Amino acid sequence: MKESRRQFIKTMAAAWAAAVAGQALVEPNALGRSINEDLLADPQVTWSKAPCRFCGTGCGVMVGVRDGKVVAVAGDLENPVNRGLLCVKGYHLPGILYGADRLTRPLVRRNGKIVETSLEEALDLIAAKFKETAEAHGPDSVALYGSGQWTIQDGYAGTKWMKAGVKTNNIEANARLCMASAVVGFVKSFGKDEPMGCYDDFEHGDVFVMWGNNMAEMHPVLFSRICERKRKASWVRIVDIGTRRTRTTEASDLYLEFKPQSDLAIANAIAREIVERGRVNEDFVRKHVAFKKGPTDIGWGLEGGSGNSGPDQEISFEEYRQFLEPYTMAYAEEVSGVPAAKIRELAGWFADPEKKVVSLWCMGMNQHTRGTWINNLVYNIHLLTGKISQPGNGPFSLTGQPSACGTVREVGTLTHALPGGRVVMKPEHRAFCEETWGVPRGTIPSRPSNHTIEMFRGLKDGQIKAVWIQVTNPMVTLPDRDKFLEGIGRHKPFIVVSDVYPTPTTEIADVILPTAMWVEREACFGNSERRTQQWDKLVDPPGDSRPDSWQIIEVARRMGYGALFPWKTEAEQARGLFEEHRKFTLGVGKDLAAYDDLKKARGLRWPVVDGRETRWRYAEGFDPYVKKGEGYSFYGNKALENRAVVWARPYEPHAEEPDKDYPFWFCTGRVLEHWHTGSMTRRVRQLHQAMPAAFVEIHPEDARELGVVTGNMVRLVSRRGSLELPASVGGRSIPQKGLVFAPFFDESKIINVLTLDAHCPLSKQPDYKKCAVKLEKV
Amino acid sequence: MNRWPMVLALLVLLLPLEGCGGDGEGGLAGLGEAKSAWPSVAAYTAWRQELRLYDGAPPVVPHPIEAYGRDDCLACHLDGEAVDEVSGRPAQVTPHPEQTNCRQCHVARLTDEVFVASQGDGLRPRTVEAPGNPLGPPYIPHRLQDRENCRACHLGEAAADVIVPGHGDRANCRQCHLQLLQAAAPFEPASTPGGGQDHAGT
Repeated sequence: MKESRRQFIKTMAAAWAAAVAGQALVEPNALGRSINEDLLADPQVTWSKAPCRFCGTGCGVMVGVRDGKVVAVAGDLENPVNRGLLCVKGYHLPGILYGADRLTRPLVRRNGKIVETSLEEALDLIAAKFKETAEAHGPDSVALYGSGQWTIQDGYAGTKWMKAGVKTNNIEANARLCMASAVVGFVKSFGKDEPMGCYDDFEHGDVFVMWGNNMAEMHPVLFSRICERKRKASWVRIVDIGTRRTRTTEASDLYLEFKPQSDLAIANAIAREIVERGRVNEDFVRKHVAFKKGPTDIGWGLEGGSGNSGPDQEISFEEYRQFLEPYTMAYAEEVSGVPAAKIRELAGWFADPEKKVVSLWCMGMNQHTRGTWINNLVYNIHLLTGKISQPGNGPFSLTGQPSACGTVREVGTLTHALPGGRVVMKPEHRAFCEETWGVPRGTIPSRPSNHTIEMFRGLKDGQIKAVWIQVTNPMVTLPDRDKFLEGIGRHKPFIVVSDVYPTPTTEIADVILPTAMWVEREACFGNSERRTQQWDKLVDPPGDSRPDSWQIIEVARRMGYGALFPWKTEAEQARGLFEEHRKFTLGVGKDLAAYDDLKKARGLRWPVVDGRETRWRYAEGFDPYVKKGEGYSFYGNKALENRAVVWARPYEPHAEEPDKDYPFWFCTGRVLEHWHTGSMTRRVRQLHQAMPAAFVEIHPEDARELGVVTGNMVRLVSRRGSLELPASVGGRSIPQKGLVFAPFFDESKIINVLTLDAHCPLSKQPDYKKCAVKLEKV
Repeated sequence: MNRWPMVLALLVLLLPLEGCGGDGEGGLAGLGEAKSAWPSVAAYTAWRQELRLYDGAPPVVPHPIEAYGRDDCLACHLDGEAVDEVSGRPAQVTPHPEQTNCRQCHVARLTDEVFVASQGDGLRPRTVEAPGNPLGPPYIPHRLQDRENCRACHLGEAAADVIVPGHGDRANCRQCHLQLLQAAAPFEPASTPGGGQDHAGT
């Protein structure tokens, strides 16, 4: 019986093979497929577009709804970001909505116990507390801490409430922990934030350089686009510059394993090689580049620490060349541990005018005590060679969160920022915002107040007395977490948390508001490539859950700022908040598309001028802001005659490097299966079962010396705390000798009790990739 | 394919260590017995559903994973010739071998535990139904995106008996088997003879 069945199958298979001979069985483009299955025509499940809830890639998903619940998703074949493909998190989106412990009712702390209350009562309480605190202790005693997962509408409501209503600049977002270095890097080099290129570069580049970036796990769909490019174009090369071997390394042609912090020396050595070999694109540099240096020995932003600050200075090309002089290949090898031949090979690809090069990075360069500098140094290489703002040529900063760009950067939900790339320090920017918002001149404070780390230092030390935390989980993610937890426990500020599930942050809350997430409300995200994507409300949120923006508006009304938010229904708010924000973006090179256009499109990349999106900024023929005959115009730097800046930024050591007492580097990060602190993805059975708990990756030789194998418990001890984790030796990723890695998704193993709150003094972004620990076998 | 005894030995070594983040481990945890002889389509579908969140979601990997890499997965899943010596089950053929980062979507199962139970209920494939004529070809009851190669599941060595077609060597499946959405939205003529205003001026 079995034999005959097999035989039958074989016959069938042979017939099939014969039938399809001469035609491609496999469609040649893995990410450009189309099939004649029309999901939208399925009458039993309603399918609608939305961007994915998770990372900054911004994949398009089709969301299938039946009987008021999300029952399936499909990769959106029409969305140019992902063309039908998703990663495992994206495919499991429906699961994040339906965890059994979803928060559905407002909760308040009464006599130390958390009890249910009505929405009215909770909102009244928040408004009363914020008003009373701001009146008694000044507006800077209250704060709003949001997220790169805030929708554009949420962030805009938050900024307007704080800056035009409460009159404080105490608004920050977890994106400070995520891409502040990219922002300051862009502004320092180009005068304007966000990438010049876009994902189309992935189909045009010849060399893809990952600077400390495990793209295979963190931006999987984009990495698949690059792998697809390589599959079709045999000459394409992928370079991985990393501190541990990852899935990205597996797919790479060249791997540069460097000692933490030494990327600064590698980047300067590449620039030196380009200059010394006469491979500078002289025409481009003469017309479009200026040179600058800034203060050095700038410290690490530690409490009680010090560092130089001061004005930046323009320098000549010759001075820049002298600055590069010490960064020989031999020096770079000595500092980084990377063989000079490998650095030279990479430099050769950058220098080759025939090769198009895309640089990619995310947290490795941004969570760095010299994060701004390393961003500048990578731009230097692209500027010296003129490999920028052209298809397949350019530095591309990836974002970790779905709307770090759209919300935090474009709306400006940071202490110094205002919508449309404006800043509170400039009187004309404040005036424009005050006029647009219809509030008196002088409403917006002219000085930034607290960046995120200062905000939480203020909470732990008692200066900030009330905070509202939305869409983020700082009691898992703050570096040196216990210091903050202890101080907050002592000073007991009033804490409001809006979230969808219980987390270690809701544990310290006085009020918890249940929140409508993702397709439970209408809103917009803005992804890494400047693409703004809109989605409609597709299902009702559970119980009293409401959008974050709705919650902010209700509290603002109760505090007397109702006139700032004239929109009534949730749908009116979604449209009204966006359209008002859009006014700030028009004419400043960040022009967002109209709401109705976004409703129809699978996202549009700004600047959108005359209905046309922009793929490559700053280049003639692509960017409507560049005039005919200019070739390129880095119009963010008006004072420098529209030139971009090459920066002289030296290699400087990290705040806490391994020594004889704490001999290991400790690096933290994410894994494919989980989103950030896991509060959503751990509630999806398939994702939790694939990645159930945190671990510590140890190099096999270090593990042997320590006498541990996979699964043995290891105690990690830093100067701030200790934590026990099971060892992973020779698993998915293998760190370099002398470095250990642990992921941060597991709330039962809070790895941030070990980390240090050192940060880049320019961007104020903490360094989660480096501190010193020792290991003990348990 | 003589790697399996070694894998088994490895598995025994690693079993107490599951959940430690590496990829060498992996579980057959709780997935039930994989087999090719199913009593009914419903029984087969129920097992199939156990491997995924909803119809159309990527199935989890129901066996331990030795090493990462496209070539490693395709060593067994490209042509389906490989047989698992433990279960005797042939490897499932991938319907989309051109997608090269297999484990971007397909993850292993290291534990049976859940973190928090779910109240969601994912889309299930529909029951198979034939249009009008009971002898006619049944509709396709599941989604097609990323599964256009019918042969991968219906004819491979690993194909469950109950979903292998009972007819002869015909290769153009979708000439006869339509998608269920076409059943749910039957064709209704938009115009009647003489009432052709829809076509006027076009």
